[in-house]
Amino acid sequence: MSDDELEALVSRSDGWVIDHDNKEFYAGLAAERLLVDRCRSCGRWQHPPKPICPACWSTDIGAEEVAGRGTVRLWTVYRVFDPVLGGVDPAGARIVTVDLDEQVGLRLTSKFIGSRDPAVGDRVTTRFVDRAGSRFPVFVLDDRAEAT
Amino acid sequence: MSRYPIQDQIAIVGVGSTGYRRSRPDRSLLSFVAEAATQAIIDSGLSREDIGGVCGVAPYVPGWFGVNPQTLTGTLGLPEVHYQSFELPPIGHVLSNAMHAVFAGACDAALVYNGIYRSAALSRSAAADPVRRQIGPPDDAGFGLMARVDFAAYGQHYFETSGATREHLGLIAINGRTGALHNDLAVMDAPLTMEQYLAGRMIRDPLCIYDCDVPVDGADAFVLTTAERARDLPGPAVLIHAATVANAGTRAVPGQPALVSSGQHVAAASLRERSDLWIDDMDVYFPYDGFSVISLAAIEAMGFAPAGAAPELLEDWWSDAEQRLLVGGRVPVNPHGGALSEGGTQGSGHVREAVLQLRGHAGARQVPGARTAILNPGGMFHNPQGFVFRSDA
Repeated sequence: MSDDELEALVSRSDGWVIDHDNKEFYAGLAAERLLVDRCRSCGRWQHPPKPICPACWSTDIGAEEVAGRGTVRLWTVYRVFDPVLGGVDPAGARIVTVDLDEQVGLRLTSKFIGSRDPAVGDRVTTRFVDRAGSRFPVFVLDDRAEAT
Repeated sequence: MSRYPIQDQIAIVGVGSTGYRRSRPDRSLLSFVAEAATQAIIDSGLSREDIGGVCGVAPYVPGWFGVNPQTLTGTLGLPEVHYQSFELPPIGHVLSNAMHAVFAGACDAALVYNGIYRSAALSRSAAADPVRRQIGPPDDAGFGLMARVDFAAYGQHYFETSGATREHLGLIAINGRTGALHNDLAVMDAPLTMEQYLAGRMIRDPLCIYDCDVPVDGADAFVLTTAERARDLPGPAVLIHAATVANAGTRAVPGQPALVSSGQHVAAASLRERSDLWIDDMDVYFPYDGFSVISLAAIEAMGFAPAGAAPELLEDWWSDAEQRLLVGGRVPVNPHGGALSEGGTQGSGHVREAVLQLRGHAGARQVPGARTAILNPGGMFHNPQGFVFRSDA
Protein backbone atom coordinates (compact mmCIF):
# COMPACT_ATOMS: atom_id res chain seq x y z
CA MET A 1 0.00 0.00 0.00
CA SER A 2 1.48 3.38 -0.96
CA ASP A 3 1.89 6.17 1.57
CA ASP A 4 -0.73 8.22 -0.29
CA GLU A 5 -3.25 5.37 -0.06
CA LEU A 6 -2.42 4.85 3.60
CA GLU A 7 -2.68 8.59 4.28
CA ALA A 8 -6.10 8.67 2.61
CA LEU A 9 -7.19 5.70 4.70
CA VAL A 10 -6.09 7.10 8.07
CA SER A 11 -7.56 10.54 7.39
CA ARG A 12 -11.10 9.24 6.79
CA SER A 13 -13.74 10.58 9.11
CA ASP A 14 -15.72 7.44 9.78
CA GLY A 15 -14.29 6.85 13.22
CA TRP A 16 -12.01 3.85 12.76
CA VAL A 17 -8.39 3.93 13.88
CA ILE A 18 -6.28 2.42 11.14
CA ASP A 19 -3.17 0.43 12.02
CA HIS A 20 -0.78 -1.85 10.17
CA ASP A 21 -2.87 -4.89 11.09
CA ASN A 22 -6.27 -3.64 9.88
CA LYS A 23 -5.33 -1.42 6.93
CA GLU A 24 -6.03 -4.15 4.33
CA PHE A 25 -9.49 -4.75 5.72
CA TYR A 26 -10.44 -1.07 5.67
CA ALA A 27 -8.84 -0.48 2.28
CA GLY A 28 -10.94 -3.38 0.96
CA LEU A 29 -14.15 -1.73 2.08
CA ALA A 30 -13.49 1.22 -0.24
CA ALA A 31 -13.55 -1.28 -3.12
CA GLU A 32 -16.66 -2.97 -1.66
CA ARG A 33 -14.68 -6.09 -0.85
CA LEU A 34 -14.53 -7.88 2.48
CA LEU A 35 -10.85 -8.77 2.97
CA VAL A 36 -10.40 -10.93 6.05
CA ASP A 37 -7.15 -12.16 7.60
CA ARG A 38 -6.22 -15.73 6.83
CA CYS A 39 -3.20 -17.73 7.98
CA ARG A 40 -1.12 -18.77 4.97
CA SER A 41 0.36 -21.58 7.01
CA CYS A 42 -2.69 -23.39 8.41
CA GLY A 43 -5.55 -21.74 6.50
CA ARG A 44 -7.40 -20.43 9.55
CA TRP A 45 -9.43 -17.24 9.14
CA GLN A 46 -9.65 -14.61 11.88
CA HIS A 47 -11.37 -11.30 12.41
CA PRO A 48 -10.73 -8.61 13.65
CA PRO A 49 -7.32 -8.42 11.96
CA LYS A 50 -4.34 -9.61 13.99
CA PRO A 51 -0.65 -10.01 13.10
CA ILE A 52 -0.35 -13.65 14.17
CA CYS A 53 -2.43 -16.81 13.79
CA PRO A 54 -4.00 -17.72 17.15
CA ALA A 55 -4.01 -21.39 16.18
CA CYS A 56 -0.51 -22.09 14.85
CA TRP A 57 1.34 -18.84 15.75
CA SER A 58 2.50 -18.27 12.19
CA THR A 59 3.02 -14.60 11.37
CA ASP A 60 2.43 -15.28 7.66
CA ILE A 61 -1.00 -13.67 7.53
CA GLY A 62 -2.73 -12.31 4.43
CA ALA A 63 -6.11 -10.75 3.76
CA GLU A 64 -8.41 -12.76 1.47
CA GLU A 65 -11.88 -11.96 0.21
CA VAL A 66 -14.86 -13.62 1.83
CA ALA A 67 -18.31 -13.88 0.24
CA GLY A 68 -20.02 -11.94 3.01
CA ARG A 69 -22.75 -14.54 3.55
CA GLY A 70 -23.56 -16.05 6.91
CA THR A 71 -25.96 -16.72 9.74
CA VAL A 72 -27.02 -14.27 12.46
CA ARG A 73 -25.66 -15.46 15.83
CA LEU A 74 -26.23 -12.41 18.09
CA TRP A 75 -28.12 -9.15 17.79
CA THR A 76 -29.09 -6.01 19.69
CA VAL A 77 -30.34 -2.48 19.03
CA TYR A 78 -28.04 0.49 19.70
CA ARG A 79 -29.88 3.62 20.80
CA VAL A 80 -26.76 5.60 21.58
CA PHE A 81 -25.04 8.63 20.08
CA ASP A 82 -23.49 7.92 16.68
CA PRO A 83 -20.68 10.41 16.03
CA VAL A 84 -21.04 10.05 12.26
CA LEU A 85 -24.78 10.72 12.32
CA GLY A 86 -24.18 13.44 14.92
CA GLY A 87 -27.05 12.09 16.98
CA VAL A 88 -29.12 9.09 17.99
CA ASP A 89 -30.81 7.16 15.19
CA PRO A 90 -34.51 7.56 16.17
CA ALA A 91 -35.28 4.06 14.94
CA GLY A 92 -32.27 2.64 16.75
CA ALA A 93 -29.46 0.84 14.97
CA ARG A 94 -29.88 -2.91 14.69
CA ILE A 95 -26.50 -4.58 15.15
CA VAL A 96 -25.86 -8.22 14.27
CA THR A 97 -22.94 -10.56 14.78
CA VAL A 98 -22.81 -12.99 11.89
CA ASP A 99 -21.07 -16.37 11.61
CA LEU A 100 -19.55 -16.18 8.14
CA ASP A 101 -19.86 -19.28 5.99
CA GLU A 102 -16.11 -19.61 5.43
CA GLN A 103 -15.33 -20.98 8.91
CA VAL A 104 -17.14 -21.89 12.11
CA GLY A 105 -16.52 -19.07 14.60
CA LEU A 106 -15.41 -16.51 11.98
CA ARG A 107 -17.62 -13.62 12.98
CA LEU A 108 -18.27 -10.15 11.63
CA THR A 109 -20.36 -7.54 13.41
CA SER A 110 -22.15 -4.70 11.63
CA LYS A 111 -25.47 -2.98 11.12
CA PHE A 112 -28.51 -4.91 9.95
CA ILE A 113 -30.86 -3.19 7.50
CA GLY A 114 -34.31 -4.69 6.98
CA SER A 115 -38.03 -4.26 7.38
CA ARG A 116 -38.07 -6.31 10.56
CA ASP A 117 -35.76 -7.07 13.49
CA PRO A 118 -33.14 -9.71 12.80
CA ALA A 119 -33.45 -13.13 14.42
CA VAL A 120 -30.81 -15.63 15.43
CA GLY A 121 -30.49 -18.09 12.56
CA ASP A 122 -31.42 -15.60 9.80
CA ARG A 123 -29.40 -16.10 6.64
CA VAL A 124 -27.84 -12.78 5.68
CA THR A 125 -25.56 -11.29 3.04
CA THR A 126 -23.57 -8.08 2.75
CA ARG A 127 -24.46 -4.79 1.05
CA PHE A 128 -22.32 -1.67 0.98
CA VAL A 129 -23.78 1.69 1.99
CA ASP A 130 -22.32 5.15 2.51
CA ARG A 131 -21.10 6.20 5.96
CA ALA A 132 -19.36 9.56 6.37
CA GLY A 133 -18.15 9.38 2.79
CA SER A 134 -16.76 5.84 3.11
CA ARG A 135 -18.21 2.56 1.91
CA PHE A 136 -19.48 0.51 4.83
CA PRO A 137 -20.73 -3.10 4.89
CA VAL A 138 -24.15 -3.85 6.35
CA PHE A 139 -26.06 -7.08 6.54
CA VAL A 140 -29.40 -7.68 4.84
CA LEU A 141 -31.58 -10.77 4.67
CA ASP A 142 -30.24 -13.10 2.00
CA ASP A 143 -32.78 -13.15 -0.88
CA ARG A 144 -31.44 -16.47 -2.09
CA ALA A 145 -32.13 -18.00 1.29
CA GLU A 146 -35.62 -16.52 1.46
CA ALA A 147 -36.47 -17.84 -1.99
CA THR A 148 -35.71 -21.42 -1.02
CA MET B 1 17.23 -9.50 55.96
CA SER B 2 15.29 -11.94 58.05
CA ARG B 3 12.35 -12.46 55.71
CA TYR B 4 12.74 -12.82 51.98
CA PRO B 5 11.18 -16.20 51.17
CA ILE B 6 11.02 -15.57 47.41
CA GLN B 7 14.82 -15.54 47.05
CA ASP B 8 15.89 -17.99 44.28
CA GLN B 9 12.37 -19.44 44.11
CA ILE B 10 11.35 -18.05 40.72
CA ALA B 11 13.13 -18.75 37.46
CA ILE B 12 13.26 -17.17 34.04
CA VAL B 13 12.91 -20.13 31.67
CA GLY B 14 12.08 -18.57 28.31
CA VAL B 15 13.31 -15.60 26.34
CA GLY B 16 12.28 -14.11 23.01
CA SER B 17 13.15 -10.94 21.13
CA THR B 18 12.37 -9.35 17.80
CA GLY B 19 15.55 -7.31 17.92
CA TYR B 20 15.24 -3.56 17.53
CA ARG B 21 14.81 -1.33 14.48
CA ARG B 22 14.91 2.36 13.79
CA SER B 23 13.98 2.28 10.13
CA ARG B 24 10.33 2.33 9.18
CA PRO B 25 8.90 -1.15 9.46
CA ASP B 26 5.22 -1.01 8.52
CA ARG B 27 4.24 -3.27 11.36
CA SER B 28 2.06 -2.86 14.40
CA LEU B 29 3.32 -2.84 17.97
CA LEU B 30 1.15 -5.92 18.51
CA SER B 31 3.07 -7.77 15.80
CA PHE B 32 6.36 -7.18 17.62
CA VAL B 33 4.95 -8.20 21.00
CA ALA B 34 3.27 -11.32 19.61
CA GLU B 35 6.46 -12.43 17.87
CA ALA B 36 8.63 -12.05 20.98
CA ALA B 37 5.97 -13.65 23.20
CA THR B 38 5.56 -16.78 21.08
CA GLN B 39 9.35 -17.14 20.84
CA ALA B 40 9.64 -16.95 24.63
CA ILE B 41 6.89 -19.50 25.23
CA ILE B 42 8.36 -21.93 22.68
CA ASP B 43 11.85 -21.38 24.12
CA SER B 44 10.61 -22.22 27.62
CA GLY B 45 9.35 -25.65 26.61
CA LEU B 46 5.96 -24.81 28.11
CA SER B 47 2.75 -24.78 26.09
CA ARG B 48 0.14 -22.07 25.71
CA GLU B 49 -2.08 -23.95 28.16
CA ASP B 50 0.61 -23.50 30.83
CA ILE B 51 0.66 -19.70 30.63
CA GLY B 52 -1.58 -18.53 33.47
CA GLY B 53 -0.22 -15.01 33.87
CA VAL B 54 0.33 -12.22 31.35
CA CYS B 55 2.19 -9.13 32.52
CA GLY B 56 3.28 -6.45 30.13
CA VAL B 57 4.56 -3.01 29.35
CA ALA B 58 3.80 -1.44 26.03
CA PRO B 59 4.18 2.27 25.61
CA TYR B 60 1.35 4.45 26.71
CA VAL B 61 0.94 7.82 25.08
CA PRO B 62 -2.18 9.93 25.56
CA GLY B 63 -4.99 8.69 23.36
CA TRP B 64 -3.30 5.38 22.64
CA PHE B 65 -3.08 2.39 24.91
CA GLY B 66 -0.44 0.22 23.32
CA VAL B 67 -0.79 -3.54 23.79
CA ASN B 68 -2.46 -4.66 26.99
CA PRO B 69 -2.57 -8.21 28.39
CA GLN B 70 -6.19 -8.71 27.33
CA THR B 71 -5.34 -7.95 23.72
CA LEU B 72 -2.26 -10.16 23.78
CA THR B 73 -4.08 -13.06 25.45
CA GLY B 74 -6.72 -13.03 22.71
CA THR B 75 -4.19 -12.55 19.94
CA LEU B 76 -2.11 -15.55 21.04
CA GLY B 77 -5.11 -17.71 21.88
CA LEU B 78 -3.98 -18.39 25.46
CA PRO B 79 -6.87 -20.46 26.81
CA GLU B 80 -6.67 -19.94 30.58
CA VAL B 81 -5.17 -16.74 31.96
CA HIS B 82 -5.90 -15.87 35.57
CA TYR B 83 -3.36 -13.20 36.45
CA GLN B 84 -2.71 -10.04 34.46
CA SER B 85 -0.96 -6.76 34.95
CA PHE B 86 -0.34 -3.82 32.64
CA GLU B 87 2.27 -1.38 33.83
CA LEU B 88 4.35 1.62 33.08
CA PRO B 89 7.97 1.10 32.03
CA PRO B 90 10.69 0.19 32.94
CA ILE B 91 10.53 -3.61 32.63
CA GLY B 92 11.11 -4.22 36.36
CA HIS B 93 7.51 -3.47 37.26
CA VAL B 94 6.09 -6.39 35.30
CA LEU B 95 9.00 -8.69 35.97
CA SER B 96 8.42 -8.12 39.66
CA ASN B 97 4.64 -8.50 39.36
CA ALA B 98 4.99 -11.79 37.49
CA MET B 99 7.56 -13.19 39.89
CA HIS B 100 5.44 -12.39 42.93
CA ALA B 101 2.30 -13.74 41.25
CA VAL B 102 3.99 -17.08 40.52
CA PHE B 103 5.42 -17.27 44.03
CA ALA B 104 2.03 -16.50 45.58
CA GLY B 105 0.34 -19.16 43.46
CA ALA B 106 -1.79 -16.80 41.38
CA CYS B 107 -0.38 -18.63 38.36
CA ASP B 108 2.27 -21.30 37.77
CA ALA B 109 3.86 -19.69 34.73
CA ALA B 110 3.71 -16.12 33.51
CA LEU B 111 4.50 -14.39 30.26
CA VAL B 112 6.25 -11.04 30.67
CA TYR B 113 6.56 -8.69 27.71
CA ASN B 114 7.90 -5.28 26.88
CA GLY B 115 7.03 -3.65 23.58
CA ILE B 116 8.26 -0.32 22.33
CA TYR B 117 6.97 1.60 19.34
CA ARG B 118 7.98 5.04 18.16
CA SER B 119 5.30 7.65 17.86
CA ALA B 120 5.65 10.25 15.13
CA ALA B 121 7.19 12.69 17.63
CA LEU B 122 10.14 10.39 18.32
CA SER B 123 11.79 9.88 14.96
CA ARG B 124 11.75 11.09 11.39
CA SER B 125 11.23 7.62 9.96
CA ALA B 126 8.30 7.02 12.31
CA ALA B 127 6.82 10.39 11.37
CA ALA B 128 6.85 9.32 7.72
CA ASP B 129 4.37 6.57 8.57
CA PRO B 130 0.78 7.86 8.20
CA VAL B 131 -0.42 5.33 10.79
CA ARG B 132 1.94 6.66 13.44
CA ARG B 133 0.97 10.24 12.83
CA GLN B 134 -2.31 9.30 14.53
CA ILE B 135 -0.54 8.24 17.74
CA GLY B 136 -0.17 10.72 20.55
CA PRO B 137 0.33 14.47 20.60
CA PRO B 138 3.37 16.24 19.17
CA ASP B 139 6.25 16.33 21.61
CA ASP B 140 5.84 19.98 22.54
CA ALA B 141 6.49 19.55 26.25
CA GLY B 142 10.24 20.07 25.98
CA PHE B 143 10.18 23.80 26.62
CA GLY B 144 8.69 26.08 29.21
CA LEU B 145 6.94 25.37 32.47
CA MET B 146 6.62 21.63 31.96
CA ALA B 147 10.09 21.15 30.48
CA ARG B 148 11.51 17.75 31.23
CA VAL B 149 14.82 18.96 32.60
CA ASP B 150 15.30 16.10 35.05
CA PHE B 151 18.16 14.06 33.65
CA ALA B 152 19.92 16.84 31.78
CA ALA B 153 19.74 19.27 34.68
CA TYR B 154 20.87 16.51 37.02
CA GLY B 155 23.82 15.96 34.70
CA GLN B 156 24.67 19.66 34.72
CA HIS B 157 24.52 19.68 38.52
CA TYR B 158 26.64 16.53 38.64
CA PHE B 159 29.28 18.07 36.39
CA GLU B 160 29.42 21.12 38.66
CA THR B 161 29.80 19.08 41.86
CA SER B 162 31.90 16.07 40.86
CA GLY B 163 34.53 17.08 38.34
CA ALA B 164 32.88 14.89 35.69
CA THR B 165 33.44 15.91 32.10
CA ARG B 166 31.81 14.92 28.83
CA GLU B 167 34.60 12.37 28.35
CA HIS B 168 33.26 10.39 31.31
CA LEU B 169 29.80 10.16 29.79
CA GLY B 170 31.55 9.24 26.56
CA LEU B 171 33.02 6.14 28.21
CA ILE B 172 29.49 4.89 28.88
CA ALA B 173 28.45 5.52 25.28
CA ILE B 174 31.55 3.96 23.71
CA ASN B 175 31.37 0.94 26.04
CA GLY B 176 27.83 0.30 24.81
CA ARG B 177 28.77 0.64 21.18
CA THR B 178 31.64 -1.84 21.54
CA GLY B 179 29.14 -4.42 22.79
CA ALA B 180 26.52 -3.64 20.17
CA LEU B 181 28.99 -4.45 17.39
CA HIS B 182 28.66 -8.12 18.41
CA ASN B 183 24.88 -8.10 18.90
CA ASP B 184 22.63 -8.86 15.94
CA LEU B 185 19.60 -7.48 17.79
CA ALA B 186 21.19 -4.03 18.20
CA VAL B 187 20.39 -1.04 15.99
CA MET B 188 23.74 0.76 16.15
CA ASP B 189 26.38 -1.13 14.22
CA ALA B 190 29.21 1.35 13.61
CA PRO B 191 32.12 1.82 16.03
CA LEU B 192 32.12 5.02 18.10
CA THR B 193 35.31 6.90 18.99
CA MET B 194 35.79 9.55 21.66
CA GLU B 195 36.39 12.13 18.91
CA GLN B 196 33.03 11.27 17.35
CA TYR B 197 31.36 11.30 20.74
CA LEU B 198 32.72 14.73 21.62
CA ALA B 199 31.57 16.07 18.24
CA GLY B 200 28.07 14.70 18.86
CA ARG B 201 25.21 17.15 18.52
CA MET B 202 24.19 18.56 21.91
CA ILE B 203 20.57 17.74 22.80
CA ARG B 204 20.02 18.94 26.37
CA ASP B 205 23.25 20.12 28.02
CA PRO B 206 25.35 18.29 29.05
CA LEU B 207 23.81 15.39 27.12
CA CYS B 208 24.61 14.95 23.45
CA ILE B 209 22.99 12.64 20.93
CA TYR B 210 25.16 9.72 22.09
CA ASP B 211 24.02 10.15 25.70
CA CYS B 212 20.35 9.56 24.86
CA ASP B 213 19.03 6.10 24.07
CA VAL B 214 17.99 5.32 20.52
CA PRO B 215 14.24 5.33 19.80
CA VAL B 216 13.35 1.94 18.34
CA ASP B 217 10.56 -0.49 17.55
CA GLY B 218 10.76 -3.94 19.03
CA ALA B 219 9.78 -6.29 21.82
CA ASP B 220 11.29 -8.68 24.32
CA ALA B 221 9.44 -11.37 26.21
CA PHE B 222 10.18 -13.74 29.04
CA VAL B 223 8.53 -16.72 30.70
CA LEU B 224 8.74 -17.17 34.46
CA THR B 225 7.85 -20.18 36.55
CA THR B 226 8.89 -21.77 39.83
CA ALA B 227 12.50 -22.85 40.24
CA GLU B 228 11.21 -26.35 40.98
CA ARG B 229 9.28 -26.59 37.73
CA ALA B 230 12.16 -24.99 35.83
CA ARG B 231 14.35 -28.01 36.62
CA ASP B 232 12.01 -30.19 34.51
CA LEU B 233 12.23 -27.88 31.50
CA PRO B 234 14.76 -28.19 28.68
CA GLY B 235 16.73 -24.93 28.92
CA PRO B 236 19.10 -23.65 31.56
CA ALA B 237 17.13 -21.60 34.09
CA VAL B 238 18.07 -18.24 35.54
CA LEU B 239 16.95 -17.65 39.11
CA ILE B 240 15.74 -14.29 40.36
CA HIS B 241 17.77 -14.01 43.53
CA ALA B 242 16.45 -10.60 44.60
CA ALA B 243 14.28 -7.87 43.14
CA THR B 244 13.17 -4.40 44.04
CA VAL B 245 10.98 -1.74 42.45
CA ALA B 246 11.73 1.38 44.43
CA ASN B 247 10.58 4.92 44.85
CA ALA B 248 11.22 7.89 47.07
CA GLY B 249 8.64 10.52 47.77
CA THR B 250 10.83 13.35 46.58
CA ARG B 251 11.10 14.45 43.00
CA ALA B 252 14.80 14.96 42.53
CA VAL B 253 15.52 18.18 40.73
CA PRO B 254 18.63 20.29 41.27
CA GLY B 255 18.68 21.95 44.63
CA GLN B 256 16.58 19.33 46.33
CA PRO B 257 17.97 16.94 48.93
CA ALA B 258 16.97 13.98 46.77
CA LEU B 259 20.14 14.51 44.78
CA VAL B 260 21.97 12.95 47.68
CA SER B 261 19.37 10.35 48.57
CA SER B 262 17.19 9.48 45.60
CA GLY B 263 14.92 6.60 44.75
CA GLN B 264 18.01 4.92 43.36
CA HIS B 265 19.50 4.84 46.85
CA VAL B 266 16.26 3.27 48.08
CA ALA B 267 16.53 0.65 45.35
CA ALA B 268 20.16 -0.12 46.18
CA ALA B 269 19.50 -0.44 49.92
CA SER B 270 16.43 -2.60 49.34
CA LEU B 271 18.28 -4.89 46.95
CA ARG B 272 21.26 -5.13 49.28
CA GLU B 273 19.00 -6.20 52.15
CA ARG B 274 17.43 -8.98 50.08
CA SER B 275 20.50 -10.29 48.31
CA ASP B 276 23.23 -12.64 49.54
CA LEU B 277 25.24 -11.68 46.46
CA TRP B 278 26.61 -8.20 45.92
CA ILE B 279 28.94 -6.20 43.74
CA ASP B 280 32.04 -8.28 44.50
CA ASP B 281 30.18 -11.47 43.52
CA MET B 282 28.86 -10.40 40.13
CA ASP B 283 30.13 -11.53 36.74
CA VAL B 284 28.27 -9.00 34.60
CA TYR B 285 26.73 -5.61 35.45
CA PHE B 286 23.75 -3.81 33.90
CA PRO B 287 23.42 -0.19 35.00
CA TYR B 288 20.59 1.54 33.15
CA ASP B 289 21.73 3.90 30.42
CA GLY B 290 18.60 5.47 28.96
CA PHE B 291 20.65 8.60 29.52
CA SER B 292 24.36 7.98 30.10
CA VAL B 293 24.41 10.01 33.31
CA ILE B 294 22.00 7.53 34.93
CA SER B 295 24.76 4.91 34.86
CA LEU B 296 27.08 7.17 36.87
CA ALA B 297 24.35 7.75 39.45
CA ALA B 298 23.67 4.00 39.67
CA ILE B 299 27.34 3.22 40.20
CA GLU B 300 27.41 5.58 43.17
CA ALA B 301 24.04 4.51 44.60
CA MET B 302 25.11 0.86 44.49
CA GLY B 303 28.21 1.67 46.49
CA PHE B 304 30.91 1.10 43.88
CA ALA B 305 32.10 4.64 44.59
CA PRO B 306 31.24 7.46 46.98
CA ALA B 307 29.11 10.36 45.74
CA GLY B 308 30.91 12.26 43.01
CA ALA B 309 33.58 9.60 42.53
CA ALA B 310 32.07 7.66 39.63
CA PRO B 311 34.13 9.52 36.99
CA GLU B 312 37.39 8.44 38.59
CA LEU B 313 36.11 4.88 38.89
CA LEU B 314 35.11 4.80 35.22
CA GLU B 315 38.68 5.77 34.34
CA ASP B 316 39.90 2.81 36.43
CA TRP B 317 37.41 0.44 34.77
CA TRP B 318 38.19 1.60 31.23
CA SER B 319 40.17 -0.80 29.06
CA ASP B 320 41.63 1.17 26.21
CA ALA B 321 42.64 -2.02 24.41
CA GLU B 322 39.10 -3.41 24.50
CA GLN B 323 37.29 -0.04 24.29
CA ARG B 324 35.00 -1.09 27.09
CA LEU B 325 34.48 -0.92 30.83
CA LEU B 326 35.57 -3.84 32.98
CA VAL B 327 34.70 -3.60 36.67
CA GLY B 328 37.82 -4.57 38.59
CA GLY B 329 39.45 -5.39 35.27
CA ARG B 330 37.10 -8.37 34.94
CA VAL B 331 33.34 -7.68 34.87
CA PRO B 332 31.77 -6.37 31.63
CA VAL B 333 29.15 -3.62 31.75
CA ASN B 334 26.10 -3.76 29.44
CA PRO B 335 27.86 -6.14 27.01
CA HIS B 336 24.85 -6.10 24.64
CA GLY B 337 25.26 -2.37 24.00
CA GLY B 338 22.79 -1.01 26.54
CA ALA B 339 19.93 1.27 25.66
CA LEU B 340 22.37 3.73 24.09
CA SER B 341 23.53 1.36 21.37
CA GLU B 342 21.28 -1.69 21.33
CA GLY B 343 18.15 0.46 21.46
CA GLY B 344 16.05 2.14 24.12
CA THR B 345 13.53 -0.34 25.48
CA GLN B 346 13.23 0.64 29.12
CA GLY B 347 15.47 -2.11 30.44
CA SER B 348 14.08 -5.17 28.69
CA GLY B 349 17.26 -5.47 26.63
CA HIS B 350 19.33 -5.45 29.82
CA VAL B 351 17.15 -8.22 31.30
CA ARG B 352 17.35 -10.29 28.11
CA GLU B 353 21.13 -9.98 27.95
CA ALA B 354 21.48 -10.93 31.62
CA VAL B 355 19.42 -14.08 30.97
CA LEU B 356 21.44 -14.96 27.85
CA GLN B 357 24.73 -14.42 29.68
CA LEU B 358 23.75 -16.57 32.67
CA ARG B 359 22.48 -19.30 30.35
CA GLY B 360 25.77 -19.22 28.45
CA HIS B 361 23.90 -18.27 25.27
CA ALA B 362 25.45 -14.85 24.56
CA GLY B 363 27.60 -15.95 21.61
CA ALA B 364 30.52 -13.65 20.82
CA ARG B 365 29.61 -11.51 23.85
CA GLN B 366 29.65 -14.38 26.31
CA VAL B 367 31.29 -13.59 29.63
CA PRO B 368 33.13 -16.86 30.40
CA GLY B 369 31.50 -18.72 33.28
CA ALA B 370 29.02 -15.93 34.10
CA ARG B 371 26.88 -17.00 37.08
CA THR B 372 25.67 -13.77 38.70
CA ALA B 373 24.30 -10.55 37.22
CA ILE B 374 23.24 -7.32 38.88
CA LEU B 375 20.79 -5.03 37.10
CA ASN B 376 19.67 -1.48 37.84
CA PRO B 377 16.82 -0.71 35.43
CA GLY B 378 15.24 2.72 35.55
CA GLY B 379 16.39 6.22 36.38
CA MET B 380 17.35 7.77 39.70
CA PHE B 381 14.13 9.67 40.29
CA HIS B 382 10.74 7.97 40.26
CA ASN B 383 11.39 4.52 38.76
CA PRO B 384 14.66 2.99 40.01
CA GLN B 385 14.72 -0.81 40.14
CA GLY B 386 17.18 -3.52 41.04
CA PHE B 387 17.61 -7.21 40.30
CA VAL B 388 20.11 -9.90 41.12
CA PHE B 389 19.98 -12.94 38.84
CA ARG B 390 21.96 -16.13 39.24
CA SER B 391 22.34 -19.22 37.11
CA ASP B 392 20.75 -22.40 38.42
CA ALA B 393 23.63 -24.57 37.22
